[in-house]
Amino acid sequence: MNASKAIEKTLVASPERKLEADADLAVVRQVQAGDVAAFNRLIHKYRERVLGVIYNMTSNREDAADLAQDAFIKAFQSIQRFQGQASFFTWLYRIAVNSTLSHLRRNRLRSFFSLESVREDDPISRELIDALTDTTGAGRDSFVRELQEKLNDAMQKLSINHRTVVTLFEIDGLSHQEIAEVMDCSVGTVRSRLHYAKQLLQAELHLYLRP
Amino acid sequence: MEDLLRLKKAERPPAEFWTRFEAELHAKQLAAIVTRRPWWNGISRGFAVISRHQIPFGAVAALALTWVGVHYMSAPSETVHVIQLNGVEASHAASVRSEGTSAATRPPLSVEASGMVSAMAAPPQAPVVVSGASHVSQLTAAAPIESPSRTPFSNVIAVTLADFRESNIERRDVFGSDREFEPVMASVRQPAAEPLAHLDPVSEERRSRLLATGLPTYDSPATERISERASNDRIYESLDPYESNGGMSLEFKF
Repeated sequence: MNASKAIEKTLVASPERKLEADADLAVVRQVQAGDVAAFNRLIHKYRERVLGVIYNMTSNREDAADLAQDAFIKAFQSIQRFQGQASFFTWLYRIAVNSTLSHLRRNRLRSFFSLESVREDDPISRELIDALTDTTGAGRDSFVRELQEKLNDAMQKLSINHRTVVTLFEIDGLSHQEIAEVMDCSVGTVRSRLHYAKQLLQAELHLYLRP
Repeated sequence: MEDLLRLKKAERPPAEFWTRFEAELHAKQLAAIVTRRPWWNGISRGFAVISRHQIPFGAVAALALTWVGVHYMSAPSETVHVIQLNGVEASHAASVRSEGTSAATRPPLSVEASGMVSAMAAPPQAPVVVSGASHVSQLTAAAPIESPSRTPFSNVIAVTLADFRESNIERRDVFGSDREFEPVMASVRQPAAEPLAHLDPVSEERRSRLLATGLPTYDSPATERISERASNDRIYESLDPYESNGGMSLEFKF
């Protein structure tokens, strides 16, 4: 029963997402009616997730901040054309992902990391780091830093599309169907890219993986 | 692997980052509201939509081009207009139907041809001309288009000629002369005849008189024969066959 629920969650959007989409649509209608300040609520709601997706795709925080702002501006300019056929969340992700893909293709040869620090004040993050390393003190910080760099290095070795799929599924938690809508491809393509990307990442990070 | 990737979630900016982020975003938002986008942005967006859906757009463009091409090629035979003319005689229409091809099954001519013939039609006051002209118009309206390579003008001419061959109207009454429509042989060619046969035989007197001025006199019979033959040849050559009564003449009229 739990396995089937997990599979369903990976394939289709959850009911919470649908409720969230309805709430977003009401705010969007306000913005379309001329209430510009209502758009700030949408910005405040989605800014971290949008920035997180772009940052994990670019591995550069300055570029990620600029691209996230541009994505919100584009969404604001085009919100009159939003019909509500897809959820606002998917629509906004699509704008952000397409802007990032265009940026990455333009600057294919120019790539350098500008990484955020791992926040250990969050209990979930702390548990995760505890699970990954047994060391404590300064050795723990340096291990986390090294792991972070290796992880970003491995992500940058993936192609742009594979990196996007891994980011949206593994880090941001979108379903296959939502990723397919965002990337404008089939669900089968999403699965195939995800499988291939995981294989490559395992090959790159096998030293840091526990058997 | 999932745990390792989840570490990326922990990479988050500090709180002060969001203050700066929102300030910059609001500045950009205000600029976007104030600044009018150039008109070519719409064009570029249109091209972006076309490039995104290039297969459907290409298919639609190909279909449209095909339709336009087919429509253009078949345009002369498809433009059907019924001509409303005054004074159409039922008897002429009936005679046309009896020619073999039903008028009802014939496609009418295009409006260009009908307009041209209508312009040729005479006013209805002149009885003879009205009859001929309206008949021509009726025939034109009911004339079949036999070949797509024929122009409407040639169809009109062909129908007019056929009508005049078949009709009982005196051609000279309508047009004064029918020489404009048919090449006419000026006269019937007569059977070939010897031109000298129409001449009277030269009498001995006349021959001697003519020879007396042109030839020296000889006494021998051989010289006599030679002079006789020479005189005949000279007479024959002196004749102009085109000025004789039985001569032929040809006239070519276009």
